[in-house]
Amino acid sequence: MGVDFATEVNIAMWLLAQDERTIFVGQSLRYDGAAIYYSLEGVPMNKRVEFPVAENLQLGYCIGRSLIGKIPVCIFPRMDFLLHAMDQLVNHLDKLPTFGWRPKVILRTRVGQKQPLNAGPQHTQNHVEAFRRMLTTVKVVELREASQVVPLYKEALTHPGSWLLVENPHV
Amino acid sequence: MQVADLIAFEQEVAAAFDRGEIHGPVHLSGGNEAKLISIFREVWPEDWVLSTWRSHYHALLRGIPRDLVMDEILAGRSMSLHFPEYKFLTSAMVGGILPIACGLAAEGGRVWCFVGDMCASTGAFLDACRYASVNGLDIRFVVEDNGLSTNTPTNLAWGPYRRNKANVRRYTYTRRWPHYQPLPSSKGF
Repeated sequence: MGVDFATEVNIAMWLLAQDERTIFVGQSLRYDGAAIYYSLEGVPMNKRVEFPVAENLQLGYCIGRSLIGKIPVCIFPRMDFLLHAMDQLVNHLDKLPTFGWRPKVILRTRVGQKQPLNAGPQHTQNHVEAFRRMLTTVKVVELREASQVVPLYKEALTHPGSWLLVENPHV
Repeated sequence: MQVADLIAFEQEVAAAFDRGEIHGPVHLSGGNEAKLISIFREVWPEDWVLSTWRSHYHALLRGIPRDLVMDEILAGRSMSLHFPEYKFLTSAMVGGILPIACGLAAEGGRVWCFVGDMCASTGAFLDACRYASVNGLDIRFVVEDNGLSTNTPTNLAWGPYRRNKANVRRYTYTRRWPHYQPLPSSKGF
């Protein structure tokens, strides 16, 4: 992942954090040492919810908080991990609007890069097209260029509905 | 709502279904009227009530007008009764409400979460109970135990519950290396 893209992601997270409704939920958000931590520079610690590894619980938790006014930024460091949360994503976040609810969750994930280090087949999958086919109300966006990052995260915040943003920069 | 009112409601639904007036699956309740009425005496108007695909009684006891509930059922939505204005949310997925309950409670809501006995045997239930307990979330989990999951006896499917985890071995140690070493050039990615 190029430096510019990483910097833009960092700026986008900082911008999201300026909205008093946002919270950031995931693993390694409050503890230094993992990649995702560094992407949240400038996001206050009191907006970060360090969650156990329980992906489906994590996303459902975010849905619940969003029903009472929060806008959770629900973070999965790899798209491979998001597969654990499919029930809450496909059967709940995507379908609750059809039942009259108005959840709003900004899902953030990334496709693991294969260069300069290849993390292998369970950390580098790209399921963007599959998610586009499965999801009917959640907007799916693949971020390929650094210039897309801030505008699309801003749009995810200001437009109604839930978004899945997949960071997958050209290398 | 009294026991007789609840029973009469389900009989009315059953009759409509038999006449072919409901174009969707219907899950009727029965046999738990008195116990549910007793539980719902503790439910406050500002509480959230989360239930499953079998939720006619919960909706009525929540205080949602009978006609509103009946209209939804007649429209084919027995399995997915949702009334946001009454803080009443259901899921037709086993355990689907559990994570959502945790989020609602984390925002300060007092939440009632009705699940079946098979759901209470899942890892999802253990996750939610543990998370709620450790974080002091105000959730009342109510396990409605009829011994069955659809038509499968829960205890036969799982086998008897054993507290003794004889097949689990655990050792503890202190990690020497970090989880992994990000490349300096990747700026944390």
